[in-house]
Amino acid sequence: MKHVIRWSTGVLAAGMVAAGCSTAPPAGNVAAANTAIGNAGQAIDQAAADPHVAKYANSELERATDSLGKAKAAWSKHDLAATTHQAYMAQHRAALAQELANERAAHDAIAVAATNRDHAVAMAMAERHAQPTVAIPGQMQEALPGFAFGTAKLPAKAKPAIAALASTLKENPGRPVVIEGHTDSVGSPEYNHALAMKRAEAVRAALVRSGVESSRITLRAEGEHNPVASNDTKAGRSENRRAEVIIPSMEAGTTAVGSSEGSTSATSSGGQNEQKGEQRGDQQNDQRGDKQGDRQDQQQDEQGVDDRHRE
Amino acid sequence: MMRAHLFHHPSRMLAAGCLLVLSGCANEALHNQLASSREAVDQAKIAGAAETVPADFDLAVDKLNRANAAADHRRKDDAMRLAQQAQIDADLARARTDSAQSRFAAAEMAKSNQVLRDALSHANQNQPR
Repeated sequence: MKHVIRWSTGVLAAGMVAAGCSTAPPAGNVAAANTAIGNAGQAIDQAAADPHVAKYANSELERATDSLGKAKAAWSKHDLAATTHQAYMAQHRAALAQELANERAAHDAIAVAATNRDHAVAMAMAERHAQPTVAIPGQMQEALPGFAFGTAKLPAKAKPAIAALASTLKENPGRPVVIEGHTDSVGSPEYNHALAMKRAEAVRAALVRSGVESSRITLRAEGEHNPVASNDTKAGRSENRRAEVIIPSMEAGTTAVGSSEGSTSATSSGGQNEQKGEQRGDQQNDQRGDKQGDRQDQQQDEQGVDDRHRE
Repeated sequence: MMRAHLFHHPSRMLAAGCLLVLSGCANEALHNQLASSREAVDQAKIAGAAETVPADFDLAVDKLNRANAAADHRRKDDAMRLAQQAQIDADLARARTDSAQSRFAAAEMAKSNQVLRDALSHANQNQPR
């Protein structure tokens, strides 16, 4: 009995040694297999993290994962050649998935660029076709009549014209602007000069509010000196109570800028002096007149519109 | 003499027949794999991989050559693995070529768009008034 036990233990031990030998692969093989499987897993994780891969190359990524599974299965049997081969396939399929996704992403970028190009061309064509109406041909001059008597408040009916002027000016950024203020002949020349300046300032303020740089704008107070209609009639005086926006022609503009800078500072400072002298008395009148004038203004505006309709 | 003796026994003949069928299957699979690997390499060449990614392309060609050599020496497992690797190498070389070309095209397009935009805005600004 003892003999039998001793014999069987010996066989068992031999079996265990043999089993041990067959299950423990050489350290070099373990390292090689681990590296191969590790690299493949890393490549797959990297590809899976790329949203383009999920979108465009998911089937290739699945094949890579499949190969990685085969590599792990081969390594569980300690078949190093099959393990490294399947790991190689897994890693390169992941790389292929990544590359296919890159390619599709580049294609998308080309499509976007093509759309952008078409858009740019369309915009430029639209701009080019729109320009003749927008570009300022030579000198441009626009009268904004209908200021209420004694006030510098912008007439309501001038607002669309101001908006149009502002957009034209913004699309012609190189062009300087001169704003002239005019009055009717009622009142003293000094008072009218100051009032004319205020009317020009009101127009400038409206243009600046609409985005025109104030540095482009020069003010000029013409007072009552340049009427466009008879001061003997109510309608004529309303026509004369105006501001004029002048955009000098390019050639004249460039020379006018130099000369106007000197003359403007003279006029504006002169105007300011006069204003200071006049303002104390006028302002109260003006403010009172302004509020009354608002109502008058609207009435006059409506009349003005009516008149035009009648014409 | 030896050979004749081998096939005398019916069960041995059967076993040999089975082996032949099996190896025939294996040969056919290897043959197909080698053919598709060759096809993949050819496609990569057509795509321009030899010029765009020469190292990747040469690797695929080298593996295909080694796969054929292994098949000639009846190392079927090696031949099969090398052929499979040659195929994925060739596919990858081709994909890298395609994507490099697409990225180049996308970059060129973006560049030419910028040139176009500049030219258009310049043309519009310089339009005679």
